[in-house]
Amino acid sequence: MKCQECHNREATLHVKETINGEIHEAYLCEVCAAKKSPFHSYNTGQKIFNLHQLLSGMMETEEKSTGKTFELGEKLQCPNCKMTYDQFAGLSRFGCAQCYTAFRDKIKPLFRKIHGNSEHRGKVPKQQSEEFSIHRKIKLLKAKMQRAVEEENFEEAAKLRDEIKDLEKGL
Amino acid sequence: MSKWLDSKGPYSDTVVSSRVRLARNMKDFFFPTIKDPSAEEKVIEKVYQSIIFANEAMNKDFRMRRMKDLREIQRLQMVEQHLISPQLANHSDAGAVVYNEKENLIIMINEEDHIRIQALLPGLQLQKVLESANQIDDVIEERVDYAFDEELGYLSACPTNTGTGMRASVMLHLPVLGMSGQIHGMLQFANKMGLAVRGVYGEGSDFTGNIYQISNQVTLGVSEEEIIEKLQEITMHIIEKERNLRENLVKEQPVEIEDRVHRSLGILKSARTISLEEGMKLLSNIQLGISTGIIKDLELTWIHQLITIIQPGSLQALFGKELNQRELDIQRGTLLREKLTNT
Repeated sequence: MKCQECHNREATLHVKETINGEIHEAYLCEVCAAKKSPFHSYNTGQKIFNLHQLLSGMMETEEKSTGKTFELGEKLQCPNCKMTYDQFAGLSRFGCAQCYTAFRDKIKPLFRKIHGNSEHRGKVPKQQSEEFSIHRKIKLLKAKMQRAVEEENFEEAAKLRDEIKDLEKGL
Repeated sequence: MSKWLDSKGPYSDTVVSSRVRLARNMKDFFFPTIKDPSAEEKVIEKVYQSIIFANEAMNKDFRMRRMKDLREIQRLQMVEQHLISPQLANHSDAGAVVYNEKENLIIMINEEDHIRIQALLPGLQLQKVLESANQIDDVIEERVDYAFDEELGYLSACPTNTGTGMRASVMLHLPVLGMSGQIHGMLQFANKMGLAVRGVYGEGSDFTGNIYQISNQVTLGVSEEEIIEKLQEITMHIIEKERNLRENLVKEQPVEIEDRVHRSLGILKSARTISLEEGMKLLSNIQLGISTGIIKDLELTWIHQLITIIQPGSLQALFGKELNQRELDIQRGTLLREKLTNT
C-alpha cells in the first residue's frame, strides 16, 4: 500500500487519532509521518508522531464516559499529588506512584490497549520481600514450562516442573 | 566524540551500537510531571549519592553535571553524543546527568522520570548492555526506594513505559537496503513485530545517512530477557538481508559501487563546504566502502566518531562559539577534508 500523503513510498505506519470523538485514520510512510509531527526537538531525535496526543485520544475522560461534568471535589483524584483522572488523561502522564492506585480500575484497560497486557513479568527490586520474589519466579517458570510443553520440549518442561516444586516448598 | 564508540563491537559492519534504557521513579516524591523544586533537588542528591557511595571504584569513575550549569551548545553536544536526551536538554533546569569516564553508563535525573539508566556498547551486544544497566539499577536500589507495584511492575510517569521500564534499541547502518528501496518492507516487518523504527539523525524527516534505530514498544507483560531476545532476532534478520544485498551488489555491479565509494571519498577530501545531510550521505558510502573491503586503510569506528563530530552541537563546541548555517557547512567541510587527507 502506498503512503496516502506522498503516494510514492510504501506505507509502514497506521496512524489513528481520535480528535473530539472522531476517529481519523491514515496510512503513512515513515517520512511523511515524521513530517506531520509537531514534535521536533534537537536535530538528533524526532518522534514519529506526538505520542502524548495519541495516548490522550485513547483515554476516556470522566466527562466523555458519563456525559456529565462533575463538580469539583467529586472528581476521581489522586489523594497524594491531587492530580485528577481527567488531568492524567490530558497529559497522559502520572503525577506520582499513588496515581496508579487511585486510577487503577480505569488504567487497566489502557494498559491492555498499549501493551496487550496488564501484568508485569519482568525484574523485581531486590528490596521487595523475598516471598514476593518467589511468587513471581514461580509464575515466570510456569510460563516457561507452558512454552516448553507447547514446543514439545518435555525434558526441559520436567526440569522446570521440579524447579517450581522446590520453590513452592520454600513458601 | 563518544568515548565508548572507539572500540569495535560484534557485527559492526551493520550495527553501530546497542543500548538499554531503564525508567525508574522514587516512591516518596512527585514524579517530574509535577513541578516541585524541593523534591527535584532531593532526588538529584539521593541518586547521586547512591552512585558515589556505592564503592570506591564507582566513586572515582562517575561524575555529575547539572543542566543549569551547562550552556546550550554543551547540552546539544551531549545530546549528539547520546549522553542525554533532547528532553533533558530542552525542558528543564532541574535535570542532571551522572556518567562514567567511558560515557557508556549514564543516569539521567529528573527527565520524564526521576531516573533514567542507560547503558551503551558498540556493535550488537544487547545482552551485555542489559547486564550493565541492571548492575547500575541494583546499585541505585540499595539506597533509593523505587516506585514498584506487584502487578504493574516499575511505575513510570508515562503509561507506555510501565512494567519493565525498559527500552532496548539498536542503531543500524543499512545503506544497501536504503539504496534498493527494500528498506520499507523491512521497516514494515519490524513494525508488525511490535518494534518501533526511527531515524537517528536529520531534521525530523528522512533517515539521514541510512542510520536507523529499532526498539521495543511493549514494556508490560514481557520480561527484559524476552524483549532482548526478540530485538536480537529481528536485528539478525535485518543484518542478514543487508549483508546479502551488499554481497550481490559487489558481485554484480563492482565498478558502480567502487565508483560511488571513491567518488564520495574524493568529495570529502576536496570539498570546501559540506552540509550535514551531504556529509552523512558521503560518510554512509565510506562505511559501505570499508565494510565491503573497497577501502582498506580506514576504520569503521573512526567513521562513527566522525558522524558524531560533524553534528551542529559538536562542531560548535569544537570551535567554541555559535556558528550560522554557512559557517557550519564551511567548518564541516574543512574538518572532514583535514581528517580524511591526513590518514
